[in-house]
Amino acid sequence: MDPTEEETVATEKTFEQLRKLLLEEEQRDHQQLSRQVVELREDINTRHRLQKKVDPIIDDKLSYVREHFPELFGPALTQAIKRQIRESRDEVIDALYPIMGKLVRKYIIVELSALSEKIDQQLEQAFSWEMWVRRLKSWVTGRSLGEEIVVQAMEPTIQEVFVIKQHSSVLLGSYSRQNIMDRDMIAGMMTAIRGFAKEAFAKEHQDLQTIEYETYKILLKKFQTFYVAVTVSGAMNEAFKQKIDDLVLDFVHKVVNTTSSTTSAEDYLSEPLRQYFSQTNL
Amino acid sequence: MTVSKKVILLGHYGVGKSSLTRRFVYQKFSNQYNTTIGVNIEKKVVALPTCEISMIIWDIAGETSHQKVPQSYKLGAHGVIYVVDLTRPNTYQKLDTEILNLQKSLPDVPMLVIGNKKDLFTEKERTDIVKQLPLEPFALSSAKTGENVDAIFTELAKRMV
Repeated sequence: MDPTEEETVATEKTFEQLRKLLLEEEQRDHQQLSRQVVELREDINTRHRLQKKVDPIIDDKLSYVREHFPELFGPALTQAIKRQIRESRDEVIDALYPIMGKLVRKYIIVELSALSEKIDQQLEQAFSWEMWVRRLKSWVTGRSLGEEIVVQAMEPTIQEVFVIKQHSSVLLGSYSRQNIMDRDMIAGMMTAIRGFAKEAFAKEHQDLQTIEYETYKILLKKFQTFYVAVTVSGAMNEAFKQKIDDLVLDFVHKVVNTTSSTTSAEDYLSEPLRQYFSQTNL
Repeated sequence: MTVSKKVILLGHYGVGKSSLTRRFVYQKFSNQYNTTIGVNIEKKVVALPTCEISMIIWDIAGETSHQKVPQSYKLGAHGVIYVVDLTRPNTYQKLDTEILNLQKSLPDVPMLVIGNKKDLFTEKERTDIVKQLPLEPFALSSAKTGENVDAIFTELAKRMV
């Protein structure tokens, strides 16, 4: 018996309801998934949206690398630089040369500026009595006034003189044109340096004669029971050194050898040193 | 009147020579150990009833024997402080020979033997250690607490006058 049209419609309706009941949730899920896939595709394919998502991650990584760069890449970089230096020495020198040149040039500029300032100060006194003396000197020596000023700016000057007992480092006297640290400690340290140099190079009959410190030079002159240390600033030439030698010998001959036996005070040479060296124009 | 005197500190490395000097000159102490390279020079004026002594202290780098110390550092010394470490027997085992040799190279120079780091022992332990020393020390000291430090240097100043 064939179902009636009414029965068929009823059956289809029931099927439809059943399908709805069974598949509704899956369809909803399917639609949601499709939407998400579309959004994801847009996220990936749209630069600014992708950037928004990825940037924080990259930032984190970058700051980690920045903080841990030495541990992460230090050894590898050191190795690479060492290898590079070993294998292409000439190229490395070529690369460094301009930098070294710049450093040297900078140093020279600084030094020249200091010299220029000093010359400026002296030019300011152009109409002073000293400047007229210099002009006269320049006229006599045949050197230009500029040269004369430069020579004077670099002229060596005695800054300090110490007379120190050999070995014990006891200071017998000192003269200074400036305020310096404890003179007893300077005497001690100078004696230790002399002793060290002697022991280190094991030369019994040789002595340390000069200590250089930037623009300062300390000249050491040894006598039987004591030594004399003269600190000089400026550019010292052989002639000036000779003058100091003569001066020290004269001082020892005229002052030290005659004073020592007549007094018991320990720094008995300080006053004679002041009197003697303040009168010299060195 | 002030008289300058050269004082040298001798002894093995790490016995506390620099700490004693630092304690005496600056009234300071540090637990950190810094090796002395060559020699370090300090100065302190000690007032005695009759005069003032300007002590030029040569704190010399430690050596296992004073014979290894450069001769020029020792020459001209007016007084010697020989320091041993009470915690390390090897710093005082040859003390008698060391002092005898020193007296030969610096005749008539007053020398004081000091046992340092006394703060690390009890009274009983200290008595036992002193018995083991080949020579009786002038004093036991502690650079850490400052005990006996001034007294040692003052005594040497008196003996140097």
